[in-house]
Amino acid sequence: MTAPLLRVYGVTMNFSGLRALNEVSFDMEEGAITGIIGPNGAGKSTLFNVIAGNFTPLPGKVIFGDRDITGFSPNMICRLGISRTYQSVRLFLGLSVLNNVKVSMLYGRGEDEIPAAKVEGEILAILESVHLDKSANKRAEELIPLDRKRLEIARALATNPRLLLLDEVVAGLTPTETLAMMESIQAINRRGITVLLVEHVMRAVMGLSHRIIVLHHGYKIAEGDPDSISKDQNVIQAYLGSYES
Amino acid sequence: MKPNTLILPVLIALLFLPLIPIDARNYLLQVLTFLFLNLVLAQSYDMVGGTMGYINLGHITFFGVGAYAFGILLNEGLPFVVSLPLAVVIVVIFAAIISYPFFRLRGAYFSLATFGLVKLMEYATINLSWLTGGSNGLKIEAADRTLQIYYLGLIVVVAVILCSWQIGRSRLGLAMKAIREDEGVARDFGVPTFKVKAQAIMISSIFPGIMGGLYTWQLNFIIPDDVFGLKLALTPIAMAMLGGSGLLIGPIIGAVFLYSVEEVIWTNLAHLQGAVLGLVIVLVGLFMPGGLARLALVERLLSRMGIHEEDK
Repeated sequence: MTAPLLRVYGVTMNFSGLRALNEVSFDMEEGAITGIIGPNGAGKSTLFNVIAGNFTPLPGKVIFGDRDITGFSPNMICRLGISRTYQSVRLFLGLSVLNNVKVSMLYGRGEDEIPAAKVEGEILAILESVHLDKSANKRAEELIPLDRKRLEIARALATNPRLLLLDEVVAGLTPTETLAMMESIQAINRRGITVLLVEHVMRAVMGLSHRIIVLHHGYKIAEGDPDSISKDQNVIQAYLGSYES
Repeated sequence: MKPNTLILPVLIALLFLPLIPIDARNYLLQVLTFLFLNLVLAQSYDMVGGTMGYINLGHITFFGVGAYAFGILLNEGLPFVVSLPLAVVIVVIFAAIISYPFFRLRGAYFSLATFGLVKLMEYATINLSWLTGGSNGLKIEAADRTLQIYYLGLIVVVAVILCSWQIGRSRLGLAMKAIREDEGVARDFGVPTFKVKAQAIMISSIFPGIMGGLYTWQLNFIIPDDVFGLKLALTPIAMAMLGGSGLLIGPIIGAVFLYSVEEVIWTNLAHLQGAVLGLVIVLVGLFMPGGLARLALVERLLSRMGIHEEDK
């Protein structure tokens, strides 16, 4: 077995007395899609922000490849190969679709910087893969919500990530759009990009993930493949409550 | 992306300006020289204020530091060609030093702090009288250099416009715009935000630094209240905002327009001058946040002149 791509080890995160994460540990294999689920306030987004470098866990470690990235700044982590989307879409609204992607292509890559002459072509190729090539010269604020999510994914892909963090990427989409988005995520995964998703929509997360991690009140209460998770008593209790309480 | 067609007409217009002073009266020369000063201040302010979205109310301190550094160096016996570049180096170092604490702040906090810096520098200059002459001012050897100043000013105007234009097309400029739109996201996608911000303010400090030196050279005499003055601090900002912050043509339109209005008011209603400036800032902020250059009418007019510019 190869070494895991990402190791989250004993991560604890306190916010002035509130413990959002409690010694959460898990490994992620390269090439897999892993889903994180849990009720509201379970600590999913906090965990995301720890991995992306926005928060520094205390104590705890995040190891990416063979490197301990705990405490690295977000821009360093991005250049090392972890890229993300946001729960509530955050684009450079005043900039063109093209420039939104250009920022991350020019700054978000590590050693594999691309020659200036190729930039435009690569951007258009990425935009085409998310069906946004016709909107390249629009301002990001002119896009409809689905396209905004697509642009976030395009921007994340432009850094050539090894690990892609997707935060509630199908939330708010119609059933048809959800299906289309799920297909795009699978296509991205087939290109060899490891995906970690936080998701509320069970159909999406169960359909996509090879492995699922369940958080509840900052604790990891279950981990396994989708089938075993859907039968896990702890998980059912966390979501639906139990008779005893 | 379309090439920016703006640069051509602007340069052509500027090429004609050297023809004027040959037999112009001194008054016109003075007016144009001060227009150049305002143009340079407005355009360089907008690199940080418009492109990067950090309203730097202390932009004028670069001018003041340049003015004093130049004057002091010249009085030490250094020739002009050494004093001016050296003064600019000092200004850029000053910008680098202040960028460290000031860029820990964002939004209104940054603006307020930089505004405080203007007063801080004014009082520092008054109190360091062994170096600056304090409130008595700083004198350099007097001479009439009106014509040299005019041409040097013109060169700086062209330089600052070219520099802004180049920034707008560059990787650095893109990072600056990303910071303006959402600094946190820019950081998450690999932009070294602190470094970019420091670079931006250092570049923007070069031009007011040069103009500060030229100002001293022209007037032969400066006082703290003058080069760190409130009016000089706010005018370029009002010009950039009025013309259209973030667009290359914006500060140019704003500077020419507001300076013309000012000249008329100055000769007719001098006591209203400060009030007009404040009124412009308030009214633009309330009713025309995009500035003149983004008005549909002006946009049409500009595109008919072959100037088409978008900030995105």
